Amino acid sequence: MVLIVAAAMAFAIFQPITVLPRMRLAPGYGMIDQSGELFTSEQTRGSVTIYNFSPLDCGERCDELADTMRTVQANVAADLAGPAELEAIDIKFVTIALEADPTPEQLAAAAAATGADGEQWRWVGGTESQIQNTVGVGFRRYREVLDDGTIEFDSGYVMVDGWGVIRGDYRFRTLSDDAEKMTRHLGMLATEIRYASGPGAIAYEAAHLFSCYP
Amino acid sequence: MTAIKRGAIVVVVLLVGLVGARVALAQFRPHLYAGSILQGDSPAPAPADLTLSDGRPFDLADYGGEVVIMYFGYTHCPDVCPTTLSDVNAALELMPESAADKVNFVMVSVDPARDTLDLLGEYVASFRPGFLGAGGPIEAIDRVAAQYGIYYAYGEGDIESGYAVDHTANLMGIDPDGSLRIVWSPEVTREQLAADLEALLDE
Repeated sequence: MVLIVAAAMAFAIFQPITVLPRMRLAPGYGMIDQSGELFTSEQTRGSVTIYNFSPLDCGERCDELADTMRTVQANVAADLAGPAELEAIDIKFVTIALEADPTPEQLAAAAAATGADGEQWRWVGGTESQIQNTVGVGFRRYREVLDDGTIEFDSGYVMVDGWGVIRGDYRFRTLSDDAEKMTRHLGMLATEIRYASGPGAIAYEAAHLFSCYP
Repeated sequence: MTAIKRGAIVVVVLLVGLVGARVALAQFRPHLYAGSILQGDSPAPAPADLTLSDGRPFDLADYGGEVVIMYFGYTHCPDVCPTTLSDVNAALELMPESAADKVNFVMVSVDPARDTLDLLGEYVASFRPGFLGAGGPIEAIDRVAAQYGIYYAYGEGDIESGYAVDHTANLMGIDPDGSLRIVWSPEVTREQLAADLEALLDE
């Protein structure tokens, strides 16, 4: 009995560190954003960035994607991601338009319709080859432009840390809601970033070694 | 046995235990990489359709059991490329020769219009014999660069007037198993790089 109580207390005190996997490198890119300015992967260095991939307008499905982005944004603003460390990190949201060569006006219209403010949340677009290299090869998302111009695509979200490393790839529906899951993961990442240097770094590296993944 | 003797034995046992624990900790303490470690064990993105400055196709399979450092730069680069190449050379100088011999460096040119394979080869070898360059058609460079998280863009000007190429200056480390394992930012010091490379070879 004493042992069980001691074990429970030890578990409560020394909670296991959970970390998000460092999956692979996010692609490098340079595209035009909704204000017609060049936006590059280099501008996301030092920030945690959540990406999604969407046609400029695809009805209900696009609404759902945008709604998830808005919910995460609102959760972060409301500090629902948990630890106070979240306040210390910069979080960006980027939606990559799946049409080739969208104009800034088209991107701005999509941004306005989804509530992307152009500061924290941007819509960006590029040439066919940029989209293929970034979305298809880099983020490994299926995308095909059909003969009638409609786009078939594999949606989902990708979380990239400030070093350009993919830390979360949300492409399959699970029991927990995408927005809730990403919000929780942002909190975990914020805590890890806080302890990325200093004595706690060893514990976090060990957690990565032993793969305590959520 | 007197109380003093018993006390002395306890102290000795404690001291031996402490020294042993310290040695064990030092032995098992994981190397803290200065670069950002990637955990996927899938093969590094293939540098398809790129050719090395020695004329061979750039195939990562040729480097099994060794480390490959990949860098994206160009020979007319005024600042970050020469500094980075010098630093990589300096890091290799800090390592035991047997380990340094197992590290291969390849600079992929993001400026194929000006960087011929001969020019690339001469440029990189001027920093250290054995360093190689790699080049290819722009479509191949675009694809490979994107996969390695590299952004690059050309500044104003042409071949006559000259131009700069803005590019990500990270170094990429491919481990002896052929996986992309580590990314170093340009701020990494030669000492950190040397330590990371040795740890990568020891894994």
